[in-house]
Amino acid sequence: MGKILEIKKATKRFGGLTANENITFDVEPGEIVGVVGPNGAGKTTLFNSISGAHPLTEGSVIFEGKDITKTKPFDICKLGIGRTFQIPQSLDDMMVYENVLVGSLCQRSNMEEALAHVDQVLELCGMLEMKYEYAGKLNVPQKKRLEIARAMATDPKLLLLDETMAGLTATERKEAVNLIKKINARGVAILTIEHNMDVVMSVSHRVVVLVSGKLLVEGTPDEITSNPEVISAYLGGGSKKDE
Amino acid sequence: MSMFMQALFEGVINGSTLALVAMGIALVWGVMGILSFSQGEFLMIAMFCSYYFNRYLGLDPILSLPFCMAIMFVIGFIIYKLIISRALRGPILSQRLITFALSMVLVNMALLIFHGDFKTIPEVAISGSIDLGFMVISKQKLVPFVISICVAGSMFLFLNKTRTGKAIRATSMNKTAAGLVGINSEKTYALAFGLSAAIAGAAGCALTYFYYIYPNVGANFQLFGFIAVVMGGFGSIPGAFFGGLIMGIADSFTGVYMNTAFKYVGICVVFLLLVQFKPKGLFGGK
Amino acid sequence: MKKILRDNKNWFIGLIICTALAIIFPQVVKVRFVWNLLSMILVWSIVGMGWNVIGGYCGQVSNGHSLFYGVGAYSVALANSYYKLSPWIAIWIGALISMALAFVVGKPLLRMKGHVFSISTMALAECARIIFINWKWCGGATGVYIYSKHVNEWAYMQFKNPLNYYYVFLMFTIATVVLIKCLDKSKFFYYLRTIKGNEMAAESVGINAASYKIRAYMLSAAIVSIGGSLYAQFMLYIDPSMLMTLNISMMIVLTAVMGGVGTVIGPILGAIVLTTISEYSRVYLGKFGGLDMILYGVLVILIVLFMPGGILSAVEEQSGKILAIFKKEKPLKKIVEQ
Repeated sequence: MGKILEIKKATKRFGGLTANENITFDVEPGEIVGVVGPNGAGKTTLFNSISGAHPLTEGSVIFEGKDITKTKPFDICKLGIGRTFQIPQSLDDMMVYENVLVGSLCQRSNMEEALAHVDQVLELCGMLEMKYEYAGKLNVPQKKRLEIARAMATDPKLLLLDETMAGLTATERKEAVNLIKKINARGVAILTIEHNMDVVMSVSHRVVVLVSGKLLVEGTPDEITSNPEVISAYLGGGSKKDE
Repeated sequence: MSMFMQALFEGVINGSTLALVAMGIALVWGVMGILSFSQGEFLMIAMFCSYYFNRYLGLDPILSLPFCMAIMFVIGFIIYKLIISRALRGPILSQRLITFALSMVLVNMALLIFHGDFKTIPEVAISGSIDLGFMVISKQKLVPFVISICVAGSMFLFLNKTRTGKAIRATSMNKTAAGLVGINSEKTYALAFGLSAAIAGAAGCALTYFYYIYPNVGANFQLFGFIAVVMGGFGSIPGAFFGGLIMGIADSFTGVYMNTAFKYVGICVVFLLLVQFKPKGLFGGK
Repeated sequence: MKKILRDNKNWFIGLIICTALAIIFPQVVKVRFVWNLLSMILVWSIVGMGWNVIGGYCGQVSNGHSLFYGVGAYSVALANSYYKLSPWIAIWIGALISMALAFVVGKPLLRMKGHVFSISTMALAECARIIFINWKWCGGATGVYIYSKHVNEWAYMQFKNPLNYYYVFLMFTIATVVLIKCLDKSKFFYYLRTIKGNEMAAESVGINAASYKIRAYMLSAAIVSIGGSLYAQFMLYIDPSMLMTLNISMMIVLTAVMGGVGTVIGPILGAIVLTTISEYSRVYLGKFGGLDMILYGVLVILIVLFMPGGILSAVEEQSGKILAIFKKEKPLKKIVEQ
């Protein structure tokens, strides 16, 4: 069975600054891959290249065998990649269910179907009771959950999570991890940027380490935590970064 | 050749007024995030002030300049406190309209009080012309130009060298951060608005040296002022200044070399093309 | 369609009640001035609802919609002058022209955001105004008269009885309201709201923002154009200074925003309040050179300051106690009854 995502020699330059350099790795269908690295390593830039927010300077992104390097963000979403943002981009003037609805409408044109789907997604993400709340009134953990719900509503095969755990308490983190596992159990592959090592270890099948825009090493969580290069990169940059 | 130089001269003169109007718009845009539709009216009010200072006190516009600026600053400040500050607490769309409604009120109040006829200042201190052979420079038109440069220069110094000025710039860059370092944003906003009125006032007062004074005069500068600000890079005050000069020159050249009616169209087309290819304006974004 | 009727039974009942009142009202108040006022209110309602699509729902504030208003007006006027075409046909031609225009200028214009977009629309509208002033085929500054001698009243939409204008306009207004109501909870408008809320988020859920913005722009152009066409038929004379000024563009914006942006009937409320004020003050205060506009401006300022969400939201707050079912229709009924 083919890989769901292949990053080949991805390089992104902004003028004189090289944010990503020659990054190559794959994601298998149904896998959870953690992306770690010190601040400024180029993790979100990589996500932006995958999701189409900006094109790669060199290299390619292949999704399910299809080259999406130059595809626009909305088409990428239709193909099956969903994403969340580091700072939740909620639609504050709309209710929770409406936020999710616009995600559902991605793959469905029939309003009734879409609304039914919304309820399913809200149930999955544990937000059914907040259905009629205005998104602007939610607190940060709730907004993050809404981000995930909205992305899930687009029926993604691959979900890009950008620092979902940032700013959450230990209990909230546990809930978030459960949600990620539930989503993964449905067959959705997940690529997640995380700073919190405990979370990464407990959730990921494999881990990819980025340092200064380059891929340092990849492997299982155990392999990574015992890798001397990784340890020195983190001791240099700190192991639990706060926002 | 001489036509070219003459057109250039006229353009720079006209542009210097536009530059001041544009700077006021850019200041309000940068600090408060709203478009000030009333800059033209502030200019107009100052023109009337200058006219009446001249008529009843015999003051030459150059002498009444500081008074006009002071009056306009106070008016701007009061308008901010009474109207703008409250509008800013509401939804964004409403904010955008309040300065337009304000300009309507100001123009029509002027119409009511001063009536529509065109006035001019009969005698000014500096008049006559300098004949350079290839072109003639009217001294009367030179005065507003010099005043504009001086006022613009003072603005730059104020914004970059004084504490209050830097506070204004800081607030325009990041209101929350500025608040965190102790800058009172309400005061800064009021100051900025008052300042924008004062600059427009300076332009207006200077204009009375040779321009006609009538209630609708502001409209001649308002739209071009907006365009100048966008050309210069939205919110950027130096950008607005140069944008204004460029607009003035473009206006003058298209007026000379094209059908007067279509010069407006020509400029707008150039503007629209420019925004397409350089969406952050000629001098980059904020 | 049937489903929308079923889900919004109460709203449609309210609509029927309001329509009935709207039909009866001028039979009770038989004042010519009022009849003309009502016709103007309907024109501005249509125009406000049209602007609302791009400005209210989609959040792209166009300050240059006088362009489409003018195109609509000129379409019926010129179609009549040159081709003796009935406005019943010319209105749709005008709408098509406006849509095509919106498509052509929309593509470059809508790449800009916020104030830059607003300023660009202003520049464009001003260009158009100047072009029309100098375009001899369109009558230039002297404008166009709509030929009105010995014409079939209904074929050419020219009525001796001003009340007939009102009823025809009422038809168009109701059609527009129903259209907007049906679109209100549609995928199209939800997508527009999302673009307004957060364009980046919109793209991330599969919305082609550029494409939807242009669609909204085209729809709003068509509706505003229809409003302009009706206005031309009403006045029987048009020129650029009546139709294509910045003032007109801004008043279009004001109607929608003052009434209630992004709502179905907000612009109607805005039209009722603003048009009534402007017409009454023009008649009674116009002789004092400018006083009427001062009143208009002061009123707008007051509404912005004290009813920041628009008239609709202020009214909703006040009448929240009254039957929730008729919440959206009751206020309209109240105002019409006056």
